[in-house]
Amino acid sequence: MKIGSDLLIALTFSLCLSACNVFDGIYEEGSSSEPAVLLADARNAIRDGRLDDAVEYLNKAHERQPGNIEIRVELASALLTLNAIDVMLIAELADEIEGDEIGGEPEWISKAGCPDDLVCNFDCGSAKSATPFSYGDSDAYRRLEEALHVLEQVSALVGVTLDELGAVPGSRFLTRADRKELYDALVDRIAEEHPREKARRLATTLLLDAGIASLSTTLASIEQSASANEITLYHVEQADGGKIVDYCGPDVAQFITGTMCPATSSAHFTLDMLKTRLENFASNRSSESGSIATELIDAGHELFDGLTSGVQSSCS
Amino acid sequence: MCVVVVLCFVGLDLRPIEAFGQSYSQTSRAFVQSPGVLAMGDAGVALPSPETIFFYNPAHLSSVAGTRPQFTLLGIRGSLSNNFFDQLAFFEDELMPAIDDGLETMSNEELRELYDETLALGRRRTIVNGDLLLPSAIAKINGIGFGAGAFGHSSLHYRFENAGAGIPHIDFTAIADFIFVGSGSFDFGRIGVDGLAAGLSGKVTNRWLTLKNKPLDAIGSDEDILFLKASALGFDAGLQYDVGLFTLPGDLTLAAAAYDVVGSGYDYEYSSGTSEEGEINADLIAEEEDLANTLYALHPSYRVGAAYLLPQALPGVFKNTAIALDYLWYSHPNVPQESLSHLHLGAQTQVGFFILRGGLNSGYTTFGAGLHLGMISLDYAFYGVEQGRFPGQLGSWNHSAQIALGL
Repeated sequence: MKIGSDLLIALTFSLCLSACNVFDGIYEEGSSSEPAVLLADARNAIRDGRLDDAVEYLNKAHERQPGNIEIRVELASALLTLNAIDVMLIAELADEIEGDEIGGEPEWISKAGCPDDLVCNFDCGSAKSATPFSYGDSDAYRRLEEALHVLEQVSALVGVTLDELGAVPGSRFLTRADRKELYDALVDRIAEEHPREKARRLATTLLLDAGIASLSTTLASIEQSASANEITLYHVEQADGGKIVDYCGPDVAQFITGTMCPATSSAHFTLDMLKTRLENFASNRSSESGSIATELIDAGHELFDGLTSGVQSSCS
Repeated sequence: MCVVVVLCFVGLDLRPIEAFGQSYSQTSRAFVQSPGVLAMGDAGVALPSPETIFFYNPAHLSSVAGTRPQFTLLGIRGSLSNNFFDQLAFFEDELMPAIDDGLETMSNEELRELYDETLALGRRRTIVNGDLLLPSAIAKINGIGFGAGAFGHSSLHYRFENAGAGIPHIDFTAIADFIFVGSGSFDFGRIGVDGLAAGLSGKVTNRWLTLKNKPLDAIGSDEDILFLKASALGFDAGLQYDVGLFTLPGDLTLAAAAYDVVGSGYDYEYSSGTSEEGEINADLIAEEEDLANTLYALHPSYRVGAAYLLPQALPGVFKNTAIALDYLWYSHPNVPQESLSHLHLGAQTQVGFFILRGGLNSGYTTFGAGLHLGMISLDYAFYGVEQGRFPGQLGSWNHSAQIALGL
């Protein structure tokens, strides 16, 4: 018995020795007032899987040095990760909205014309079917909705640098040359404070975070405005078999000017950010297909092409 | 075998000479570590041994080399992080098949699972090394020590971080070095300064390097692989002083060494590559050369330390019992660290052919053993390394083993 307990003590001591550090407790993580030290602590906390701690340290660092791009990008990424907002979530949402996975039974099958009390943004007469749906029925959307305040914070963190460069939501798509110019300007701006290789990495993370935050808030604004304006969203199957997402309501004009015009700009901005990242950071890929960012861009185009059909002329 | 017999016959010492140096996670220096020293908490700048001459403290030549030349003919060493096998299984069974099949073919749920697992397994840097100890020799003539040797070193390290919005960013590098070292030392006792020795090592390194440092979604199954090449000439300098000021029952030694204080540095340039397109993308060449020159530049590093060799206890049982303490720092560390992270403490004792070692490496426990049987030596170490800013923040555990042959 005595030998057994001695062995147990020896084993416990050995395990402790092999798992612990004898200097444990001398330094306290996150206690520094130096932004660079707080940033290092945050990165180590992330590597240790402690995202809550990382966000706390990064917030402290950001308070002390709000102009530091590296801290802002790290904080934006940590916030998105902590709240499980990532490209896969957006892709999941896009799949749900594009498909028939959410929504009720098909309506207007073989019925000509729109309901008497509704104005629709599409030709009801030629539609084969129109099935109402709500983002609110999507699990992915509900997760985004719960994290709207985080998305706003992320947009603010990464948006400052893009604003400085004049990359704001606009009414036109940027050309590939524009996107190259934007990327180079972004890298140059960050390289004023950091080595160039780090600037490239920060630029691509910033563009990805900005794109995801912008896309999420755009979708949320559409859903919120649709509810406020009694707008119903529909999956519409057209006569030629094509499917689009469109909408009807008592007064779609207000919805178009108040929501869809800015949403169109935001969508362009989002897709441009993702394209900018992909084309420039992954420029050596022989093929741009297969990337999750490419998939998102394609899904985004499909989604917003449907939603914004007929909107452009109204906005302009 | 005939060669061994002849060399023994002419009175040459065939005990293997090993070599070691700094931490691979902190410097781009070309060097070869020794399990014997890693097991002692990576301490020993002031503890001369055949293992410490070429990459640690060239002044040790004065203490270790004798008038009879000593040779190492061949040795191999390997080390790897504790988490390597989990990662290897994940890489072979999940990640590579997914990339080969195309990430776009995966469902969102499968992709999320893959990315989450990639990030969870790879957040901490994993290191795998393999070294070849090619022939080396040391000798001393009239108080002047000489040594020369060739070494092959290879290392592979990688880590996955968040590239933003849940996409893993790969930080992968593989390095192969061929190192030729020439060392010399002078014993100042010959000119009246007893106990003081100084040494200098010159190293010519030829390095091949390949790296990938980008988000996972930017890497395709048809990704070009580039090999960059660089050469460098570097010099290490060392001092060793056997303190004779106190009347101690053992021997106290103080020492200091500076590595790569003078040298040409690396200038990485494209050497060769593989591409499914037949031609390597010029932008990629410029990008990876730029990355290598930024991330893997050569910068000086330093050690100071003390060692205390205890008088022989229980004569005939415990030999070479010693305690060593080093303070090690880098001029451009990959991770800036607090002062206690620079501290290395170790002890060893020898019982017959068997050597037991233990220590604290930045506060983490290390232990190991060696079996030295004349021409053959075997060494093993298990050691913790601090990857974070201060001791205890982000430790990683590693194994290292070596076999060296006096032939």
